[in-house]
Amino acid sequence: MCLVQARNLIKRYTADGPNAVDDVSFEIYDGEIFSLLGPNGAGKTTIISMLSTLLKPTGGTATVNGHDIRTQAMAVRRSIGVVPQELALYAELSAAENLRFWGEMRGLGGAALGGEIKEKLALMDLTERARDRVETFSGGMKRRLNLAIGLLGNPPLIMLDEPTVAIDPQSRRYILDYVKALNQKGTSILYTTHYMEEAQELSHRIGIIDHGKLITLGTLQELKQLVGEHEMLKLQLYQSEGGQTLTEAVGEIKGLHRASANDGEVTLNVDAAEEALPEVLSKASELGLSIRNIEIREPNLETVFLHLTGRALRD
Amino acid sequence: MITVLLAMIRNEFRREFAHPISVVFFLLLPLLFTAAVGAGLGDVSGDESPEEYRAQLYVKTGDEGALADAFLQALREVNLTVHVAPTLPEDTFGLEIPAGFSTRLQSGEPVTVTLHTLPVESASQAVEQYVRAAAGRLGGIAQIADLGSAHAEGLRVVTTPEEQRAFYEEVFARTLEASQDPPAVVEVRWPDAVKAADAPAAMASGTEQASAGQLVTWVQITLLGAAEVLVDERLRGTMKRLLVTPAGRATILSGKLLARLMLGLVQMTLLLGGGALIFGVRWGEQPLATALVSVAFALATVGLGMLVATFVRTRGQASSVVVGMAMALAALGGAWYPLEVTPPLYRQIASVLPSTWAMRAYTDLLARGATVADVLPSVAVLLGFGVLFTVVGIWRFQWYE
Ligand SMILES: Nc1ncnc2c1ncn2[C@@H]1O[C@H](COP(=O)(O)OP(=O)(O)O)[C@@H](O)[C@H]1O
Ligand SMILES: [Mg+2]
Repeated sequence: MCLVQARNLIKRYTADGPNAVDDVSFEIYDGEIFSLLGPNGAGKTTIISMLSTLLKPTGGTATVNGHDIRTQAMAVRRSIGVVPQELALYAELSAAENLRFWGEMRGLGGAALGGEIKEKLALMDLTERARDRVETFSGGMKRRLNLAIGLLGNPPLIMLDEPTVAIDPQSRRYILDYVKALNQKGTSILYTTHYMEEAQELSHRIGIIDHGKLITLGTLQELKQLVGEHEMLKLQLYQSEGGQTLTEAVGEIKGLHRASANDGEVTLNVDAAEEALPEVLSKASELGLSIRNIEIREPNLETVFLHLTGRALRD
Repeated sequence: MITVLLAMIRNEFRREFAHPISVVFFLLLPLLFTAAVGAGLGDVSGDESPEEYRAQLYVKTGDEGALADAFLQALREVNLTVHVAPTLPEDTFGLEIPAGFSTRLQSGEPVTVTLHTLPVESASQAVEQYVRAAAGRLGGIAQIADLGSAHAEGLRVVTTPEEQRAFYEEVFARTLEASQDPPAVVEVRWPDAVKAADAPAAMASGTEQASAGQLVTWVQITLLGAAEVLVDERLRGTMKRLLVTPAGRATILSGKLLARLMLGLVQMTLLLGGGALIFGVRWGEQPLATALVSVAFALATVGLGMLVATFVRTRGQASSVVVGMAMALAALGGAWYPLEVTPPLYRQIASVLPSTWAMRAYTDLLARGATVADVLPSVAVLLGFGVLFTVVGIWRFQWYE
């Protein structure tokens, strides 16, 4: 069954501005983790805002749990939990008070809500700090509480907008593991991120988005096949200004598909890394560049992104 | 929906009092200011000894006759300081005695004198009473003199018009003199606990004036705070989160405003109670009248706060606009000093502010024991402000970015 069906969604923030979301269509099936992967400004938050009925689409529409986001906003809101990218908490209240308030806003109450608050606090490892004010929490704890609030009422679909931005590795691990566990219990998830590792680890299917356009969509295996048998060769130079020069110099190498530079970091998309490497190294020494580190990678989402856009994901 | 509204109200109270310091602004400072300002105003309005208070009355007379003089004398005897002037100043009490006042009165015709009063001034009712009393006394004497001379004419004691006139004036002068020490006097005694609401005390006392003024000032800060809390929710990101709950936009906005309104009403109740208990203020004769004024004022001000929210972008802007507006509205509205000491233009500007109408209504309640019917016009104006501000506010409100 289809939990989300987005049809040609378009969003323009200003009448004559660019399309922040440009004709995006996709489906999220019941029980899956669906990720939107894309760099900052790609349009991920805008898509979540439209699907969660915060923003009206400029064009197109979508159904969530069978309800139209344009005409059945209330029913949509009852079907989803949203974890916004920015923390949305009352810092002067305790964790438990925050959970209680947001639970009541969902129409929950009484003993059921009390039980759920306890459960969510335990799940997010916040039980001991339940009575403490959120303003005394670490960034990771605030993120976990922000997530817990989105889960109240156990809706069938949770939308998580970059829930791991700017937190410590432990909290990130905690959140990723929790998302997987939650999904295993049957909750469908829309997850956005600009970390390809996260998308790769979590998702059943991934949509890659750039400049408002959904440029490809499929399972990890399907996406890797887009790149073919290519490998990724990553070189780090001591000279940060040398990246661009080297990228241009290696343009003629046999088996090269794409080359991009990010300061001193050069990323090459090649048929076989061992074959290309000697030539790349000799070009580098011709240019007087010294190499600090070399890395060879199997195809992954970053190679896919590079292949499709000509840019590295974190440009 | 009720659950949601209650949750929002509880949330607002919890957040308002999350830091104990807010009690200082909510309750302690207003009461301290009331005490301090009350002591200061006490001197100005002569609260301690009502006898010393004499309202100033300017009189423009178009009549030089004996009866006009007698009227002026009668006015002076009823506790008014009378200044005869060629023109009447605009900003104080003025009385016009028309030409032909004496002759018309003598011939038994009715005459009209015009009292220019100041509706916003607490003393205006007292002045009106004094002038009526003087006019009544004069009218009574004139009637006696009239009847006397008619009788004398009937008895043929007087024949020529000159004789008739002299007789009239004689009777008039004697009656006037005699009535200065009326044979029967009424002495009014009150049980000690009850404060006499007789003429001079009809001015709100310094402490009463201060209690009403400080209540209006501080409650405005709480209620206009609607602007701050709406901006705060927007900047915190909680507004977006609220908007994706199944509560719905109308409920969310109502909840925010209702919560502020409740906070304001709680503060009002505490300050009304504090004023009564600590400073012995009597907030009018009918609790319902006081309640109506308070609720209407709260609605108008919370609506204004909502409207302000649609203009401000940052928390800093919001809080300075809220405090600045609360102070300006309080000062212009007569919450800090009586409006009668201000120039007419000032009073004209002030009359389009909700704070002015609230102060006017509170002063009516305090000084004149106004009834529900008396305060209804002010209540209606305040509710009108409330509806206007809220409607424009909702129309301008941007839900998201
Ligand atoms: N409120 C807004 N007004 C105008 N432009 C916006 C607004 N929000 C986002 N944008 C623009 O829309 C594009 C997509 O933004 P966003 O959806 O936030 O991307 P992402 O979440 O992928 O980083 C960006 O170019 C951004 O600048
Ligand atoms: Mg975003």
